[in-house]
Amino acid sequence: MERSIITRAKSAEQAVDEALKLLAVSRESVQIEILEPGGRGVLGLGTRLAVVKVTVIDSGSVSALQSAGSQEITVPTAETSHENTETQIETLPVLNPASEEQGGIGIHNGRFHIQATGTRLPLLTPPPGAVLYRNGTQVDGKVSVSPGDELELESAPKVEAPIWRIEIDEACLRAELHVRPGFERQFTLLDCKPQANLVVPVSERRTFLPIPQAEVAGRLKELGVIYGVRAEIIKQACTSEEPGVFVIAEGSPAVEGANGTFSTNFETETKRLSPQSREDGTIDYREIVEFPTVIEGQVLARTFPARPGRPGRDLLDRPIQPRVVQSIELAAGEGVSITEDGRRAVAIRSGMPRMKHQGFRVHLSVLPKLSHRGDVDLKSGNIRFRGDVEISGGVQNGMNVEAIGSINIRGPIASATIEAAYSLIASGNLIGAHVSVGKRSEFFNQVEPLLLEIASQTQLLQSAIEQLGQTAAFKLNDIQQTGLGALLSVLLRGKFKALHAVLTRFSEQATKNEAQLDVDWKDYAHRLKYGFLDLRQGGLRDSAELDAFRRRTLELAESVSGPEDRPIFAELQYVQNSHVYCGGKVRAAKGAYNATIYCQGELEAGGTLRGGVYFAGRGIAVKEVGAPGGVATKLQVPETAVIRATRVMEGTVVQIGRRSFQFVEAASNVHARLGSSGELLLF
Amino acid sequence: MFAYQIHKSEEEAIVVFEGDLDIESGEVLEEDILPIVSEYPSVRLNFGEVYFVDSSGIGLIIRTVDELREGGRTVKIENVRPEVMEVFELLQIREILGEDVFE
Repeated sequence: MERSIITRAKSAEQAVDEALKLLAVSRESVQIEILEPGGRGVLGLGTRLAVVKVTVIDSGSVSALQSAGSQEITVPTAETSHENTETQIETLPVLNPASEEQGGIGIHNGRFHIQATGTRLPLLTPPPGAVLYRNGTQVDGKVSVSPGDELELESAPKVEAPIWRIEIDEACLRAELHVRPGFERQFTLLDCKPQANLVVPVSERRTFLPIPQAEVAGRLKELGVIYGVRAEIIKQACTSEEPGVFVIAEGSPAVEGANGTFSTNFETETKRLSPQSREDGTIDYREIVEFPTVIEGQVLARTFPARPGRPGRDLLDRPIQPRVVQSIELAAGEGVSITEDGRRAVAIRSGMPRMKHQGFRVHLSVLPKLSHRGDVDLKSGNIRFRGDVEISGGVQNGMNVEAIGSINIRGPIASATIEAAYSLIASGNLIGAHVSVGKRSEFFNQVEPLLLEIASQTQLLQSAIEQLGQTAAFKLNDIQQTGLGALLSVLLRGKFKALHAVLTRFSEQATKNEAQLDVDWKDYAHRLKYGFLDLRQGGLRDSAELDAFRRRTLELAESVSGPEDRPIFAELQYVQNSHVYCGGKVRAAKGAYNATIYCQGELEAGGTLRGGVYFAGRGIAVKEVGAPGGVATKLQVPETAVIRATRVMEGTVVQIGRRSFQFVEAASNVHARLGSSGELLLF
Repeated sequence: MFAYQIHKSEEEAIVVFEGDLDIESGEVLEEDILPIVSEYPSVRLNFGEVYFVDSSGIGLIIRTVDELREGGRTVKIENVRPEVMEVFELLQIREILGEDVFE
C-alpha cells in the first residue's frame, strides 16, 4: 500500500513541503496531486487554502493515484504552558470518497462501528502511546478488522511512576534528592467518521503524580538522617514537574580553629652604631658593632594561645571534629626560665640570646658573654666558650680561641686559630692567622641526608606495620605487652635492611661527634639507638611512639638545613699570610697580602689584595688587586656571581665559574661576569 | 591454645605445631621443643595447623631456625597456610631465612 497525505497550506508549494516533511521523503519519490490551488476565492472574497495530495511512489507499484486510504493532517499548534497538566492531541479524519468498496471503521459516542461493505476489510492502526485491544488481545501495528471484532481502548490510565533517589555525599553533610517526575496518562476515544484505514484518534489527559513526601521522609529516616532536614525543600522536590536535584538535608561543617603563635622580644641582628666620641674627645670613626644581648629578667618570648575550632554536625547527627590545634611549646635552655603558665620565656642572666624554632617548639637559651682582659697568650691559656667572647687585647702565636657565639678581638691576631660559630670582628690585623667563622660542623653535613632518609623509611615502616595488622593471620596483641621490639627486629633484618643501615650510620656519627652535640641531639640519638638498634629494653613501644620519632627526625633535619638564627660574617682589617674561611660575608677593610680567603657570601676589600687566592660565593668587590711584576693574585667566584675591581694589575687572574682570564696589563673598572651564552665579559 | 607433636626417626625430627605461634606458645617452643629436636641432624617444622602468628612468634621462629642451623642442623619449614604465608611475605621471612628453608 502506498503512503499518502493530504495537506493544506497557504500555497500549494508550502502544502507540498509540509507533506514531504511529514512523509519524510524527497520530492523525487512522490506523486503530487493538487486538489485545490488556493489563492483568492471566488468573486475575490477571502482566501482559500491550497490542498494537495502527496503520494509516495513505491518502486514497482501499479497505480500511483489509487490510494486505498489517506490521512489528512493539519499541523497542530500544541499548548506548551507548564501549568496545564492536560495536553490534547487530536487527529481529524476525512472521508475518502473512493472508499465505499472497502468499508470503514468509525467511532461514534466513544464506540467503534465497523462496516465491511466491500471486498476488502478496513484497516486499523492503534494510537501511539495508548493500548488498543481487539477481541481481548492487544493490537500491535496495523491490522485488518472485520465487523464481528470487538475493539476496545484501554481506559485505565497508564502510569509512569515518579523516580527518585537520595544521594548522600562522602562527608555526610549533604543529602540530595534526585527526582524525575511521574505522570498518569489517560486516553479517550474521539468520535470520527468511518474510514477505510483508521488511525485511532484519541485525546490524552496527562496528570502529574507528585512524589509522596512521607516516602522521602521515611527513606531519610532509614538512612539515619536526622539533622539538617529541610522540609520545605522536600516539598518543593516532590511537587516539581521538572526533573532536578534538590538539597534536602544539610549538615554543619566544623569551624576550624587557629594554631598558637609566639612573639619574641630581642634582636638577633648585630647592630652597627655610627661613630662615637671617645673619652679623650676624639671621634672614633670605626663602626662599633654590638652583638645582640639580653639582660637578666628580660622577657624573651611570649606565646599566644591556640584557638580551638568548633565541632560541626553531620546528617546523622554525629559531631564533626575540627582539626586539632596546636599550641606553641616554649622550651628553656640554659640561662632561660619559662613561667609556670608556659606562656613566657624569661632570661635569668644577661648574655647572648639563642632561639631555635622547630615546628611548634621554640627553644630559647641565653649564653653568657665572656670578656677577656688583655691578650690571649700562654699565661691566659686558650679560650673555649659557649657564648660570645670579647678580647680586649690580641691573640698570640699558637693560641686558640673558640666560641659558640661571636668573637670580638680588639688587638692583633698572630699565628693563632680563631673559630667562631657566628661572627668575628677583628679590630687589629691578622698575621699568619687561621680563622674559621660559621663553619658548619662535619657532623651536620653528614647527618642531614641521613635524617631525611630515616624519616622517609620510617614512614614506609609505619605503612608496613599497618598493612601487617590488616592481614588475616597476624595478631597484634603482643605489642601491647612487649612493645614493637620483636617486630622491628624482624623488619630491620628483612624488608627494612636499608633503614637499619642508615640508623647505624647515624648512631656512629653521633657517637663520634658526641662532644659537639647539645641536649636535643643527644636525646634523639639515644631514642634512635634504644628504639631500633639496641632492643634489649623492648624498643619503641607502639606506633604512636614510632610516629613521634618520625616527626622529631624531620624537625631535626629541618633545624640543620633551616636558616641560621644569626648572621654569619667576618669583619677584618688587614689580613696577611692568613687563612680565612667564612660561612657568610667577609670584609677586609684594609686589604690583604698573600692570604687565602674563602667565603660563601660576598667578599669586600678596601686597600689592595696583593697575592693570594680569594674565593667568594656571592661575588667580590675590591679596590685594587694584584702587584706590578709581583705575586700572582687570583679572584674566583661561581658562574652566577661577578667580580668588580677598581684597579687590576697585570698578572691578576679572574675566574668566573670555569672561565678564567689573566690580565697581561693593568686595567681599570673591571666588571667580570659571564654573559648570556657563557662567555667571559670583563667590562 | 598451643600443642605440638614430635615425630622422631634416626635422621630427622618432625615437629607438627597445632595452634597459634604467638607470645604464649613461644615459651613452649623455646623451652620444650627446641632442646629435644636440636639433637637431630635434620628438623622439619610443620605449620599445617598454624592459623595465627604474632611478632613474638615470628621472632621466635627466626631465632629457632638460626640456632638450629648454627648447631649444624638442616631446617625446613613446610605446609605453611596461605594466610600465614602472606605474613611471611610481608616480613620477607623467606629472604631472611633463605629459600632453602622453604624448599
